[in-house]
Amino acid sequence: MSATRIERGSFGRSAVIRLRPNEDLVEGVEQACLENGISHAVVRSAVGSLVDAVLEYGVRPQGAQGDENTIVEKGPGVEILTLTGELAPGEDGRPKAELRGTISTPDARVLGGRFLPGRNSICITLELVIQEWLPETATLQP
Amino acid sequence: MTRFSTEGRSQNQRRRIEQPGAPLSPRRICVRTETGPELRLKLDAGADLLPELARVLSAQGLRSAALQALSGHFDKISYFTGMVDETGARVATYGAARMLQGPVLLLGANAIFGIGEEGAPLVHCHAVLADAQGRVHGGHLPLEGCILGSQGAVIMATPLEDAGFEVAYDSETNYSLFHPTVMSV
Repeated sequence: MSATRIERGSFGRSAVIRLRPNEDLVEGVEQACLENGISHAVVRSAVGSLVDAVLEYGVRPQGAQGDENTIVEKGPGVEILTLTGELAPGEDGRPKAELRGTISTPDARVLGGRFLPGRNSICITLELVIQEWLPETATLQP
Repeated sequence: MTRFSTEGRSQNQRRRIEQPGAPLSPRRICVRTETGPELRLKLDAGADLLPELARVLSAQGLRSAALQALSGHFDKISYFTGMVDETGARVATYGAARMLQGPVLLLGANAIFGIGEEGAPLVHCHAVLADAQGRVHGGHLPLEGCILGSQGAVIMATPLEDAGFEVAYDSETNYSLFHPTVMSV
């Protein structure tokens, strides 16, 4: 028996974000949202590049320390082609970003997966627009 | 010679890259803005994708927007992928243009519409494509010359009202780049 949870809500204001070089893609987005009081958001569009890309596929074993289930592509100049995902509070209440997408490598291959937190340094820039998601349930809590 | 440093422990480390200019602050720039009602743009065959997007969004009175492609089909398109800049002027640059003859399917694209050099509207777009043999490609699209085929394209635009992206010279990377900027109404 599955238990799908439905969250009713609406879209709110947007945030226009640039991450400078050497910020981590996932942790940088989380930090920018923490600094600006954004707890729930969806990615509307993103254009940028990475020093190196580390993408997860399948299900990474719990506590994995190595590169199991990961694609590691060396740059510099790995292009982020598409980015989708959301930001929501994690178990510790801090904003947690789940980001997946596609990249192109310097030798022009296209790959995709989930961007592993802490492993994807921005190369030149990340231009990002996220839009706040306003869940009704959260606003009803005392 | 490109120089790297490494952050983090053992398998969870990532490389950082030394840029030509001194690091600038803040490392994360974030500007909040009201979001306008979504626009669905249906572009016809023969249109040059990026100039046409810049033209129609400007004509709607917008200065900046987040764009996502829902569908698209090109007669002719080229794209660029990144590589090390051997001159050392920058850490990365684009390689030679890679040309594809149509029909080429647009599988997905993210783009930023904003204000470019001298106030002209500019679209910065990265795309994933399938060529006429079914092979997947992708990269940065040139500002002109991505000509839509018979099926046109459908693009969703999220308008940004009182802030958006505007090009400014970035001394750290030695590139002119989109930066978040407050835009007075």
